[in-house]
Amino acid sequence: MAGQHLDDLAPVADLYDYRGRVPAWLPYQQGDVFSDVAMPGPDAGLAMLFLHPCTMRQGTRLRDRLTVVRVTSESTRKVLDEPAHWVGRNKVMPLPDLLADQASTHVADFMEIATVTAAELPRASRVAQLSLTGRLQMQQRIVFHLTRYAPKLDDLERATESVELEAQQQADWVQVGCGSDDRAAPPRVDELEAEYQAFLGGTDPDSIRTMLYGPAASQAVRAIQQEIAARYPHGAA
Amino acid sequence: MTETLTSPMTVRSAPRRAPGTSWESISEEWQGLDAQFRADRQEHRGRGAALVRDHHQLYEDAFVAEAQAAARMTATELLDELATGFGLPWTDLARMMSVSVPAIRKWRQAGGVSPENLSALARVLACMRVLRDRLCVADPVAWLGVPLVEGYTVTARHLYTAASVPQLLDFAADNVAPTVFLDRVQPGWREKYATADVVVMFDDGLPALVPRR
Repeated sequence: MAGQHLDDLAPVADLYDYRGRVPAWLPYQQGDVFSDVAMPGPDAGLAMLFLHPCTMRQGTRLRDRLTVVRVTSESTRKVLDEPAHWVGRNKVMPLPDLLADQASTHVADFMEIATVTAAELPRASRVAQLSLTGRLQMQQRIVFHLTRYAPKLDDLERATESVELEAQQQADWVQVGCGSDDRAAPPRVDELEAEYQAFLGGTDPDSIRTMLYGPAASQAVRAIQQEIAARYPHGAA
Repeated sequence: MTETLTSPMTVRSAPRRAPGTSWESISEEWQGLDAQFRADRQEHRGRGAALVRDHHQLYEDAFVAEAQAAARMTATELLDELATGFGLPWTDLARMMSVSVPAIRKWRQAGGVSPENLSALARVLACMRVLRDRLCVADPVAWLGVPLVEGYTVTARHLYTAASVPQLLDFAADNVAPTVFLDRVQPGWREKYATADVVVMFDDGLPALVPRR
């Protein structure tokens, strides 16, 4: 019987920001897909980072143990990007053409969630990062899977925009700081991320971090971007 | 014969009007005054429509002049001003230009912007400059992100397109009510953007989604 359903899956071009080689300077994000992750079960394989950026960190570094969702093959011959294919498939996050081979489809299966050590998820093993649209669709699907409630994507975007903004600014800071080296060494990336977090400051009312999470967010973005330009004058261009 | 409501048998004579309310009894002076008001209002409607059109044109001319000035800048200069001058997040810019965030990062780092995208980038900067410098919107980025009508998720950043900029500027200048603006630029907005939830600051100090009360 036809009925209401979750938002139509976005086209592949809008679902991912990066596939294949994911730049090392990008912060860890909910929905990042990693290869060769040893989850409980027979073989190591693909897994998707489940935690929200707020909860995946302890201070400036990743928590020791992180929650992931197993990613499995749905088709080895077709890119199943038709929204109609996914109507009623609410226990998965569809990942058509995840590997950018234009010939396969994967799913992140919400029925298979496990905790792994952060060492299982090195930046070099990251094979995809969802776009903002992709992350919102993933969040909507997770919420629905857990609660049978389907929040609007616009509402999810408003509720998470400060966290997204913090991550975006971090990406800019680290990208420019490491000279846009997509294969920057992890210690250098960690160092730049710590530098950025130190610039944001704590949760006192006058900190950049507090501004970022309030109505003065655009002032915080200006301050961060000006700081990036001042610290790394030859980095941006 | 069955009587029906439309049969001649059911037609009754109209009640006699009270004295003084028939057209014949109303003075020519009053009739003339009424006619004059009608004519004046019709003329004002025409004048009002012309004023709206001319006012939009004023905004459009300002926008075009700024866009032409911005078109002389490089992609890096445009992106730098949007980031360091306005604090525009790349996700908002990507939405306004219908491109991806990685594309914008690539432009900023390595250039390679197509002429069409360079022109679109210049138009975004022009819109931001007109909002700030001519319409005195202190923080255009914040303004673009404010929900326009309670109970709906729609914001001005959902509505930005080059074609709607003059109308967007007219709205920013407080010349039209939000619902009138929305009806003009996006019929069907009530169905598309209605929400039962609202974003509030939760007890952990972070935004959260709760039912609207």
